Amino acid sequence: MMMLIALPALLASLGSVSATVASPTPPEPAPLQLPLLDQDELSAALARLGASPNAEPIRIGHSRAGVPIDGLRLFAGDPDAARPAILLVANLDGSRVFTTSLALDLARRLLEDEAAGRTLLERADVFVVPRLDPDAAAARFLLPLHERLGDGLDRDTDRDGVAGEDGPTDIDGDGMVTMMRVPDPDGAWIADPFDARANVEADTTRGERGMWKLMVEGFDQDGDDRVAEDWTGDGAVNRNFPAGFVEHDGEAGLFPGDEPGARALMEFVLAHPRLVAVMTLDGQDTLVDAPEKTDDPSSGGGRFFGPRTAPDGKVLASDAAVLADFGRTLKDLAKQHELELSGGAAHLGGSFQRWAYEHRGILTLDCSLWTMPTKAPKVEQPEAEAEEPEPVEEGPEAATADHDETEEGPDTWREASDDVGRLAWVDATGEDHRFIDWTPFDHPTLGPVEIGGWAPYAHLEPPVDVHQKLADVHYGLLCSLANSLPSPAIVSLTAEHLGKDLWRVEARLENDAVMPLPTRAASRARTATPARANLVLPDGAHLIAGELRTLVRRLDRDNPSELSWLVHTKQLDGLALELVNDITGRTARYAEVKEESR
Amino acid sequence: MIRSQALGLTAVLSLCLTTAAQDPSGVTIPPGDSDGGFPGLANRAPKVEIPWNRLVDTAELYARMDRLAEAYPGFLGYEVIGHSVEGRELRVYTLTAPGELEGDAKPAMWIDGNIHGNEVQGGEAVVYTAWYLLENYGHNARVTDLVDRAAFYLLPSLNPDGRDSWFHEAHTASSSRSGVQPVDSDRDGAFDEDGPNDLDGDGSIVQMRKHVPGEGTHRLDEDDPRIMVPMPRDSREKGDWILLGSEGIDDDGDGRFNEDGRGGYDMNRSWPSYWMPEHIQFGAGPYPLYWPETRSVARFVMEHPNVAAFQTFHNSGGMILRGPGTESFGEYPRADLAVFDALGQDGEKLLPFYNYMIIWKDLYSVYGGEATWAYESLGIISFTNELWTGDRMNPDGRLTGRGEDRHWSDDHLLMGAGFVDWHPFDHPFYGEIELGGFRKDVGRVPPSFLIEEMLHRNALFNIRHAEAMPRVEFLEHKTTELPGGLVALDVTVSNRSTIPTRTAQAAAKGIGVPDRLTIALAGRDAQVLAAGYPGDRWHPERIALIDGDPTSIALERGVPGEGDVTLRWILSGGSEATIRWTGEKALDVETTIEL
Repeated sequence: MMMLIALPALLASLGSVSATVASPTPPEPAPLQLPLLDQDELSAALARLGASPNAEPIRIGHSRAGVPIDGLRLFAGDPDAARPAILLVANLDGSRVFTTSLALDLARRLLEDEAAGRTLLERADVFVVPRLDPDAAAARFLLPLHERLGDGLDRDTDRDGVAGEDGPTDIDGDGMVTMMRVPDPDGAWIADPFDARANVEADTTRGERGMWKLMVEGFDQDGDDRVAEDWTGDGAVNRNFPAGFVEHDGEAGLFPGDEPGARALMEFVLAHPRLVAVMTLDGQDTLVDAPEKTDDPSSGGGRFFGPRTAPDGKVLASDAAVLADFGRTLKDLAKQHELELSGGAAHLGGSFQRWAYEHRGILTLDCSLWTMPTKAPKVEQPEAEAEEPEPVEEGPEAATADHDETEEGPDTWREASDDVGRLAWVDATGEDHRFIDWTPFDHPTLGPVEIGGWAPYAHLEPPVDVHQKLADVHYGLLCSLANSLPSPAIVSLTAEHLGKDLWRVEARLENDAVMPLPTRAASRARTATPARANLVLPDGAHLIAGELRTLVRRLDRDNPSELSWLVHTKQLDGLALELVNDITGRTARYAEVKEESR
Repeated sequence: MIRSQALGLTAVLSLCLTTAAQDPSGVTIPPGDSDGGFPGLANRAPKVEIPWNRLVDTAELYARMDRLAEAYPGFLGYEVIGHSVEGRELRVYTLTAPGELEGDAKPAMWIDGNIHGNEVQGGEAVVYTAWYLLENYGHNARVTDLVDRAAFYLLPSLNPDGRDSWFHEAHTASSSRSGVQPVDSDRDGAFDEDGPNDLDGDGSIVQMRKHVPGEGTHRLDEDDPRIMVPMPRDSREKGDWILLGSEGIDDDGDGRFNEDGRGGYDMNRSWPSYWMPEHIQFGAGPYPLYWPETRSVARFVMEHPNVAAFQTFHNSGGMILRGPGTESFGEYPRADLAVFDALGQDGEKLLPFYNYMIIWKDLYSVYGGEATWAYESLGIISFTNELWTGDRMNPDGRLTGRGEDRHWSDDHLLMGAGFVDWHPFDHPFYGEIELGGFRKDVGRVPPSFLIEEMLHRNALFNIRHAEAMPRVEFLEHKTTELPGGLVALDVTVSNRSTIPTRTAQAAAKGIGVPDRLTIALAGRDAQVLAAGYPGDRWHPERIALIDGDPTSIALERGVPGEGDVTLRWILSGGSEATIRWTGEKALDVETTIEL
């Protein structure tokens, strides 16, 4: 059973703050009963789940720091049966640590659910990799708390010949690295007139003048007059994949696959050609907002000099239609569970999702999980009161970024910034641990500053109830795949006697599942081995026309395949067709005599 | 007074250098020595005799290098940087003069060959370079100086599996280009199951032709029936013969011949810069540096930031290629183009029949090439030479090197050894056919009697490139007294070689570590108050001030090729200043100036 860790307890268990400046007693962070698992707890959870007869442990590799990247294979029935596979990956971005427990919860449900979960596992292997970037995730369990997208290769960001020598510091000793407002007439920032806690950029064209610079909390540790400008561990695993890789960018890493975690995951995918779908628990979205799409390619091009236009991250039209089906399922589930989903970008450059789809042709099912609302929740009134429209006193719960026209607000041309709305949501929901009030601090080199702002992970980690709903919705989506998997079939194999032992043999092959065999992207990328339709002749039979082996390059709802042969044989017994493909294995059918030719 | 020296560099042999000459390209060339001349003359036989009229397999390439290492102890050693798919060692030999500095502390040139398994003579070009340098060390002043102050990282064969397959198995001149990791090239679920077959067991893969009177696409040449002449496309007349392609059978019964042979990828499409997936660039593999050979090399080069020159050897066509590999990359920075052009144009003089070319523009587009990666990702000036051109067989142009003339050359210069005469064969599918054609060692590799010249000219192109690696020194300094007892110290650091200490590409993309100029003052109350770049000789106060610590200045753009950088320090007090320049791609230098 997964552990729920109360953040205060977690913080207390992790020792003292490594601050270099004495500070007042840190404020007690509010309870954040979000299930977060450190590496030991993750290993223990995997061991518990792996003890199931329907699970076996997998290890895809190690991180740059040498931490094992472990997971599970979930299955039911014959473990060696040929069936499609689904890959569930979480914590690709090192900062989304909470998705690890989400992935493990889905795994647990699949193993415990004798109905839908069992059905899926009978039809598909489900591989679960709950933490792709354990190095960056480790930061979630250290003090001071400092949000990390990655913790890969160091880059000499400030070009002084030393990498990672001037990172942020928890200078006020509150256990978190936040931001500093540094008073400066050349600064670009001022307080939002709707809520002075929020920062907005001054608009000099309207006569505003900036009051402060915003800097990450820290010192100038390398004496170059810049503060916290060269952090350690710039490389992020989920920017290190080849599709859309941005070279010479710190987050992307030195070259695609340089981060061990990225390479390990690519090798895992290459070693599992039965993968038909990847579900990621990350910040990207292919299901809520329709991803940008482009026309299916008209042809594959030549072997050596094929189409020379690089893929641009868009989804091919046929595949987009499939994703739209899953998107509808996801939205229905979200509605059912009263979960508000937000869209987002699909297939970011250098991400696993983009590589999996664009270079390997595997559908990626992603939704951006949670983003902090930019308005406070509406307060629902009891029906009886609703019938009596008496004036309701406005409280802070009702504060929104979309200010009521009747509400008295500041005299400004501005509209409230999104951060004002987010702060309203924080205030209204009791999630105030997400924001650290700006507090004066005497910086040793910068003078008086204010330290505060959004707490690390505040924008990423959902409230506990949302976490639960995310698990419910994703579990529903996962189980729905059981009925969407490619299912190529020989729906008919008939033989018509033409006379003198000559038979016209005809076959119809179909795949009526949502998922095509293969995707258009796989066809384009030439990663899909076409299904092979092999005609098996009885002894003494001769093939007069047709191919003994036909490569069936595509089977989907709109594209059945019809084959025909002329066979000379004295007897039909043993005339069969087998259909072999890398995803579902082999199926076969014996020929039946067409009624009118008996 | 100025005392300066390249740090740590102690030549094993001290040679007397007389007046330097200036060659037309502007490069300073110290005079050669007169100690025996080039090995080969009667008065100085080489220490290691190597038959340079032979091409050999990987083991023999390594054996030649090992013989050199044994003959020149301390100058040559190797490390195994990885293994090929079949487990062959990938040996990188480091060649440099022994002394206080290891090779890794000197500017270095990377040279490899044979990334395409069939393009074998690149391996010999690498070994010849080592042989030439070692045999001339201590005899030739320029070679000695180069081997003292630079290192060479030499990988004779990047694709030893493909090389050995080409040598020891039946092939054409063009097959065995790939490595040998199995690939399902025809996407039928089976791997490498339908390659060419040496049907007659003669060790060659040649062509198949069939006599089909009145139904063919070819006729036999009237004067030389070995030559197949295609029938004109617009003619209704049919020939009597058809060509059936390379020697082989339909091993997998899919109706196609030889469509899924060993391997089926291209390691010179696997490098990270402008890498594209398989459907854009055939042979690229599933991700950059996927194959162990490429990954091992990339790791080694990236871990050696002292590599300042990069050369790969291929065959054939007679080309000195530079990037970009694709038009979409755009053009290289102007400052670096000047370096490419200087070296490439010298290469054309060194290598008759070779042309200095841009890959995408003059050849074809290549995504993920090795040499383009070296420049675009690592900022290293890099070339690919396509060794050998058939024009060398007939240098005066009296023969064309094609058709009848090609046979004439083979008949008279090789006594027919390069051609398998057409002979009958009973093919299991086509029935009675004929097998024949040129052998694998004709067309893309030189005949034995021309190998050495090819190797020598290309090795000397390597040396031209290596000599162009940056050499930094301090020029005369200047001190100016300023009000208040302050002193302005102008120091100029110069690079007299063609290649800058940091290419424009490296500077623009933040590759590697910037050069650094540091100053340490001796004396009571000595202080370095500020630093900047002077820009106007008439207005010395006009200097571009440098932020940060004035005692340690990062030079992101380095020191230009055949150029210099002047820095002004504003000092207070001090009796002596020690200035030090450090960089990744040239020997560190230090000078002490009395103030």
